[in-house]
Amino acid sequence: MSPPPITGHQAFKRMIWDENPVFVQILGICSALAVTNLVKNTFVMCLGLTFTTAMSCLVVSLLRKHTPRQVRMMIQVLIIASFVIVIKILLDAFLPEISSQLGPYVGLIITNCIVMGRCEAFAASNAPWLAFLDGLGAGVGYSMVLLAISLIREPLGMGTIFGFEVLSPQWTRWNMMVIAPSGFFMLAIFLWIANWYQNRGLSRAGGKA
Amino acid sequence: MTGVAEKTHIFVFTLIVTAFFGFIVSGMDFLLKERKEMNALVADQRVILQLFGLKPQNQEWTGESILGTFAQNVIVASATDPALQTVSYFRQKQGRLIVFPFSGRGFWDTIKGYIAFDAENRKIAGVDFTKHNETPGLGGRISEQSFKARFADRKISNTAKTFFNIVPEGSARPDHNEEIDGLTGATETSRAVETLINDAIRNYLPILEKEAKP
Repeated sequence: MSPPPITGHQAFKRMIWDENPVFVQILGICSALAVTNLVKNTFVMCLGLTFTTAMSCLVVSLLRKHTPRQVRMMIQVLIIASFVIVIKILLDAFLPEISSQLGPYVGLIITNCIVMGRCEAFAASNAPWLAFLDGLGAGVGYSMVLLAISLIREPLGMGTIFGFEVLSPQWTRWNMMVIAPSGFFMLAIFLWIANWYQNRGLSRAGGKA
Repeated sequence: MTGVAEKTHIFVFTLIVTAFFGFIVSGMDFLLKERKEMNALVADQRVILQLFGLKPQNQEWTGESILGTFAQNVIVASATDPALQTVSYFRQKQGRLIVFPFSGRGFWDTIKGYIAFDAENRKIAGVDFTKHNETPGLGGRISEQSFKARFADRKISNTAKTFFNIVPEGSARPDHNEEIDGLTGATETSRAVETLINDAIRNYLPILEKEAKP
């Protein structure tokens, strides 16, 4: 465990790479697999999750001194659920097509381990501004991973990025990339590369590089 | 041990926070309700237009163009079905297709959609599922174009009691029009759809036969 961050900048930055929620903490995997077959859906999902995590962490932190210990997790879920429902209502009202394409996955942000994980591990015992930046960083770290995966899945699977054709129609579409199992493979490869990169100094130096 | 004061604090705090967030969520829902209903109406009208094979003039499927095209080309009619319920259905101003809404029990929750008939030739012209809560990736695949296409252009038999049988995916025989491929891994949803479609046909056949008379 890294020593508790003292600045907001540190709280934000470590979430992007060193303690990335997806490939270091291995959280939020389900959604990483589910929506990454299209860049557009991934983008909306990442915005939704970043907003939810940052705002929930902020509110949890604001209430932390008054929240009774016995009900703190229930209150966290209540706050997270409220934000996600608000996002769903806004999507249904202003972007109905995206809402129906994302289907149940927006609602599933409530169950995403990253949100609850950051609320309980950090926001419940840190200042609001720090908690907000930590949540924001977690969302951005998550978004980086998902966008990277989707920028491979969509072109290979459908020949498009964000709906715009990037590969000629003669390119044989890799149907595998459209369905769920490719999410597993892409994520595993990403994890492999990321962990190799992070630990490459270890075996030579005999300790943390 | 938590004393009375602490228990009261827990109770009151939880009550206040729940009421506050509940109020915000309900408030937003209330404020945006009309907009959401308009979106649902436009989505339904779009499905009906697509079942009729109609497109907006400028080829753009926007809210306005859908509402306009629907108003110009579709007549809403009503009739009574065998169960003495009033049924609203849709006819084209120019064209022989008729679209009925259907609704029934799915595996998890109600499945709703529209079914288009060619009255003269006694066929299903097409089907669309607009609302369902089936398992994503399994039963949820009924919304996919490839599944819906299995119902297009199917003649409805004159004699059979069960009009169509949904069979395990891949086992529908080409010379057996009443056999339709289901979805692998979605047996219950496929069964529910079979019941739904057969019930809809049985229910609307009298109205269809009346419409088919010149």
